[in-house]
Amino acid sequence: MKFNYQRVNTVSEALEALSGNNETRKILAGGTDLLVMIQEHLISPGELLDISGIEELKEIGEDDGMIRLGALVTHGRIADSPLLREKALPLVESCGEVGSPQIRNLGTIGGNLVMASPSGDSIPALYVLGAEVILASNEGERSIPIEEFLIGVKKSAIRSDELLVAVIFPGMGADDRGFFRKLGQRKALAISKVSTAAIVSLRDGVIASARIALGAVATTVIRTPRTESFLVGQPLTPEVISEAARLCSEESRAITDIRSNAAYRDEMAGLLLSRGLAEIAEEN
Amino acid sequence: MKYKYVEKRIPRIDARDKVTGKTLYSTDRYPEGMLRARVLRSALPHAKIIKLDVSKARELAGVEAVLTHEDVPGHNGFGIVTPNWPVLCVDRVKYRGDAIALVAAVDEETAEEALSLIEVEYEPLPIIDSPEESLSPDAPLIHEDGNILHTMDIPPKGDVEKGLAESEIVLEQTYKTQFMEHAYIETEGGVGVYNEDDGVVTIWCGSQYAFRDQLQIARSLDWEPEKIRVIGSPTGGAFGGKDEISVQIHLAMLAIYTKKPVRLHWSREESIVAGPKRHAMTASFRIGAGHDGVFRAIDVKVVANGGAYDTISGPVLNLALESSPGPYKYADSRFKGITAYTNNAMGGEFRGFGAPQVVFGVEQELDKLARKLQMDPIELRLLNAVEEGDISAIGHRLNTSAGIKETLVAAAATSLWKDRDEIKHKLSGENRYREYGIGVASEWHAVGMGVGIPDFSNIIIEIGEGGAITLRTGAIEMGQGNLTAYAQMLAEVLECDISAIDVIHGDTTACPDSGSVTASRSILVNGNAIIDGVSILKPILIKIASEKLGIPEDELEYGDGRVFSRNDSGIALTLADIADQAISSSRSLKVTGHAVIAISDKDFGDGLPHNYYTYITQIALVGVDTGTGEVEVIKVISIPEMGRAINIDGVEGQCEGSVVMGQGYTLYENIIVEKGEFKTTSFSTYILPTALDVPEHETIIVEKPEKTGPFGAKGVGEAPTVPIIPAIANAIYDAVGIRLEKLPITPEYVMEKLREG
Repeated sequence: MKFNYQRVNTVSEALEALSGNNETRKILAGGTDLLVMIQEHLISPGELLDISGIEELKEIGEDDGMIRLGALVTHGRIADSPLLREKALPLVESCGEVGSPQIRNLGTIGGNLVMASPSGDSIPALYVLGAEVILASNEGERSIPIEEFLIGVKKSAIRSDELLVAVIFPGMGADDRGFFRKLGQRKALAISKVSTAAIVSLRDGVIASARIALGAVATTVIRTPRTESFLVGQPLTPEVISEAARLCSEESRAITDIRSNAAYRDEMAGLLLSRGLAEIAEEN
Repeated sequence: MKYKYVEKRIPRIDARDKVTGKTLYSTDRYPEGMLRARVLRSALPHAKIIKLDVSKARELAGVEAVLTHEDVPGHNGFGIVTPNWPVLCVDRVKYRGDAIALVAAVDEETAEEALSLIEVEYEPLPIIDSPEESLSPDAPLIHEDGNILHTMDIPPKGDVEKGLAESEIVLEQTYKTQFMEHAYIETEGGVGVYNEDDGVVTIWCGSQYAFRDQLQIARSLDWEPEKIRVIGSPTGGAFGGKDEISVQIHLAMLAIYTKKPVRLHWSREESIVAGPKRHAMTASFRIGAGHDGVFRAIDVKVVANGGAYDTISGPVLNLALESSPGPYKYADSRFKGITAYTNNAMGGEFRGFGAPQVVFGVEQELDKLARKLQMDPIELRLLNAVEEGDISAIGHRLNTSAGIKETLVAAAATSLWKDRDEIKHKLSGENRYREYGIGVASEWHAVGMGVGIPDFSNIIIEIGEGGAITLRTGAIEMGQGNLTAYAQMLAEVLECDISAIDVIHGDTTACPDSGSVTASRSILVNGNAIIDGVSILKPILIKIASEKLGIPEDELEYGDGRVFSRNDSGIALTLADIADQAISSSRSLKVTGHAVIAISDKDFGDGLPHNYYTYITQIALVGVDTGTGEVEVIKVISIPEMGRAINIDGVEGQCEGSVVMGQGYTLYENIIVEKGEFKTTSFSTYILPTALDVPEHETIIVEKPEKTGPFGAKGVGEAPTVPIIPAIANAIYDAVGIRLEKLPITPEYVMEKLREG
């Protein structure tokens, strides 16, 4: 294989490089997906733009309750961040289950988003955190809600002249409880067969708001609006949890492939939700 | 008897070089000016080749060879038993791994581009995935002489129908298993070099039997074997998958044609698609027993998916049948098997050699029987277990050590078994989602090739200047630690320091033919050859010492690595002294030791039956998540009886590796092929256990020395891969009350079974 390789050290250099139209260009960050795809001949880029040296994209910051993760923050750093453990527990739990230590040390949050896999583990967590994606180009920055950013299997709304620079979301409040759970084919290096992330806000024992997202059960990560609205106003009793799991399984739209089958995935989407909610109920 | 080296924990003699990266595997060789080779594989699982045009590929700059079937000078086929696997296909392809053309070019990229320039026109033929389709009366023929690859009927013992009719309890069940990948770290590969001066082509390649590779290459080149040197060791993992030809003939053809060094190293995908797998099998059992738990009759039928060509499918089926009753007595028995050609994955040799596929089922049936009788499953097995001298279920007398009872007694004495209820109860309190279970299973595993198949070894022992000892064996070191075991046995009988021994291995020019490193045989046969060699060497040492010392031979004795006077032990010559004396008188201290594995007094044909067995019992503790169906194997105890443990670390290593392999087969691993197309061509879809998935493991070694084995040893390389499979299944039953009739036991399958109730 042959390709041109260009390494940039600042966002503005990257944007300059991206402004030239080049359909065969791919951006290299952690490389944990990209290099595998190149090696397996699934893609054959004419040019690799290596952004892994851009320091300004490696920051984890908090400003007035908003968390900002630079695109090059790795899964490993997210999993180890005390700030994120407090303010974004589902994201910490999901990043801690990505691949293996080697992959977590290289793979980036921005890469996980632009790969746009329905089984990308950070994505359901970012859905329930209400994240927005910041895209930069020579024309300026724009911000897109994550649910509009991801539009299909391996398809996102990013333009070829744009660079994903950050993802932002409000940190979880004192009343918020959340989790991420997944099932894979083994304990490590496992692509999710089904995953569930949720954040519920509990006030006086009653759910004030609920956000639930499922991974690997549709062409993109999906929310479960019926389950969420059912939960609002309810206490976390075993009966409520069991009904929520049933609704969640109904809203799951999984397919059968070599990793698992549709019926199992749909059922497990609800089961993972019920286990997460049950543990929240016990802790409160 | 106390030993100095045998029955000890001896560090591997090859460990330092392997750990420090000094060891060169075949695929680590990069001679100067080396070309890179690639193989064009079939685009379809079954088709006629209408047109094959390589002209454009030949014209590409940087391409030095494009070879087709027209360039195979000798027999265009290879195969351990029947050589019907084409070196390069002529006018028909029969599976997705079939080789059509070879390319050698200056680099990988050019070679790959050349492959894309080869034009092949196919006429698709109907695709046969399963033996059932293959054996149906109107099935299209995969081979001209029919779709049956092999059949085997072991001569019936007693009257099985009468035995079943008279049994108070009859169990009947069919089990299905999948294709399994060897998944060696080093995929098939090597380097070929042709020397124009002496006309010798040398092939470095990961192998299990360099001498057979040499003959298979010679047959296809139509060359004298002496002009072909194969260096097949060390090998980066083999597990049975490298006993057959992979890159060897292709490398020889390309090296001779280009007169340049050529490298061919299969990609992981190529290894998965083209290489042989553990056969997928369907095994049906009918077992009859009395209310007292005494086994009466067993009727076994096995159907195996052989894939497109023969390789060694027949012996695998035979051993499946021989293994199927297990180490128990039955009055009546019948064993029938058939292997069919298909266009699916290639069935071939794989550690366990047919046993995992049948022991998975039969040991679950025994567990069912124990529960029906409300007997302890270990008690039930003990009641029916064989001893040395007994007539086995297949009707031959067991003439060698048989320690299955001792392994069962040891299993019953473990805390994991004795305190199992308490252990399960305690764990249940710690995890609300899980149920816990403990299961047990046993096996006998044949050692050696069996009746009628050459089963010999030659080794050379040489003592050189300064007393340096060289052991030459054609045997391959493929990670199992046999070189260390050979050195231990040689040091023990020669009473010398193990560090003085250098083992040269796996090279058809530098070593004698020691037979294949398969069938758990290499400790047994090479150990005996070493003992034979030393028994020839000792009188020679005494004779030379006698000359030097001027003392008659009958007054000299060999001991502690020296020859000494019986009358005055202070008068002695060391091995170094004797070697110097031999060298100064232009003689060499070089002997060839020889051994043949003893055979059974019965002959059922096709290599059955065997004469030596490893006996083993394994216990597994599992946790089953009743919501998700996930199974975690928490702890395993392996209790092998291998005669004598030569290297205790080695026995434990074989057990640990085997258990992980057996666990992977039981829970995760599955080569999925639909309509001849492979769906699992990488390690992201072919699921191997990771470090986080493997259980805690303990080995309890049971020794029952075999009088005809070296120091009493038999072998242990395969057996621990086998009963772990039904032990896990029986543990799952113990946990949640479901029986598993197919592999792998995925969470989806567990949930389906739990729903059925």
